[in-house]
Parts: sequence; C-alpha cells; structure tokens
Amino acid sequence: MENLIIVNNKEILFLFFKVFSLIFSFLYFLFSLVSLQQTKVMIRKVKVGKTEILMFLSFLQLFLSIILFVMAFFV
Amino acid sequence: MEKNRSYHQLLHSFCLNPSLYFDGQDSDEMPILILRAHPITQLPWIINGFFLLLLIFSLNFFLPNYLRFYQIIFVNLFGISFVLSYFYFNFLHWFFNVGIITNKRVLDIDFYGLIYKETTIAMLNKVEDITAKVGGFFSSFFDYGNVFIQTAGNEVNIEFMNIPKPQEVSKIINQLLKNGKFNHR
Repeated sequence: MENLIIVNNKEILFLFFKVFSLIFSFLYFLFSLVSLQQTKVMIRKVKVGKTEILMFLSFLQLFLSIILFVMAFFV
Repeated sequence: MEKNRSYHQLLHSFCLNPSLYFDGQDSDEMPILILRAHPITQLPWIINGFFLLLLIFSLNFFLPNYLRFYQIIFVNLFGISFVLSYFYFNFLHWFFNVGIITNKRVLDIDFYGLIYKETTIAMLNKVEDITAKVGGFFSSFFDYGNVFIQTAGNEVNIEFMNIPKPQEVSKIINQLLKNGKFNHR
C-alpha cells in the first residue's frame, strides 16, 4: 500500500512536469518567434555589417525552441 | 576632431565615420558617429547569465532524486537554451540601442523589450546646448557617461546614456555646430 502511494505521487509529479514543460516550451517558442521578428525590424532600422549572423542566431533560437516543444511531448 | 579619421569595428561602442545605413537616411546624409552604451555597463547581465548557468549545473546534483534521466536532459536543454536566449536578447538590446550623429541631425534609436521601439531625431541646426556628465568611480575610471542634447523650440531633447568618451562626443557635436554647414567629412 505504501509503495502504491509513492508510485502515485511520482506519477503526479511527472504529470505536472509534462504540463509545465509543454507550457514553458510553448512560451519559449512564442518568445523566439517574436525575437526573430524584432531582429528583422532592428536590422531594417539600422544596417551595420554582418547582420546575417544575427539572423542566423535568431533562426537557431527558433529551431531550438521547436525541438524543445516537440521534446516536451515525450518527457 | 581629426578629419577623415575612421575608427569603426562592428562591436565598438564609439564608432567614428562608420559604414552604416539607417532607415530614413537621406542620400546626402553621412553618419559621423555611432554610439552605444560602454561595454562595461553590460557586465551585470553577463554575470547574471553565468550565475544562471551555474544554477542549472548545480541542479543536476539534486534532480536525479526526483526525475527520470530524459526529464533531466530536458531540464538541462531548456535551461541552457533559456540562458543563451537571455545572453542573445541582452546583446541585441545593446547592439541596436544606438545614438547616431550625422552631418545633418542627431538620432537616438531605442528598443524597449521585444516590442517597443522609439526613435528620437533632432536637427543639428536646432541644437542649443550639449552637456556631458561623468559621475562615479566606474564612470571616471572607464571614461563613460551621459550626454544631454537640448534643442530649441518644439524639437525633442536627446539623451545618450552611458556612452564612452562623453567629452569627445560633445566636442564633435560642438565642432559640427561651429562648422555651420553641418558637413563634417
């Protein structure tokens, strides 16, 4: 009986973990999307050499956020 | 100010005669100076970022008691990408919050957070008074401070905060005003 309660507690913890992972990774995805748009606006406003590096980093961030969001479904 | 001297690298906070194009630039308008906050003023977020990385690293000692292996991997990946985003966001904020002085006008471009941006423009012939302020131990040691540009009439006043060499900036603007033609190069 004691073991059963411990298992249930862990399951609740894992469920919470999954829900929070999904919520936070989705928020992170939104943040990356807005960040990408804002980088575009900033670059359009002030063009100072090597801006393609910044665009690359913004896309990388977006890509990472998508991977994390997908991963959150399986944790 | 030395004429025709060019002193400009991508990550500098004081760029003289830079190769730059900004939105709304006239065809005969030449940027003379770009200003960003002095790099030393960016130290707090760099330190915070490293502390956050340390926190994520130290979490790994406790997490195995509560979470499964792949959940720990997820926490680490999420934490690291969050801190990298924090670094990147703050860098962007520093890089694009610029003050631009051209042969025609003074511009202050500010981005607040992710959504808001503000551009303040004052024509050089409307500039009335320039004040450079340096105060405090770090400001004096690293030679950075604030420059306040007061304009006549309904034109807005412009403030450049924590910029390097504030005295030199005010000297450059003063020289531009003295030239009268507002053509420095």
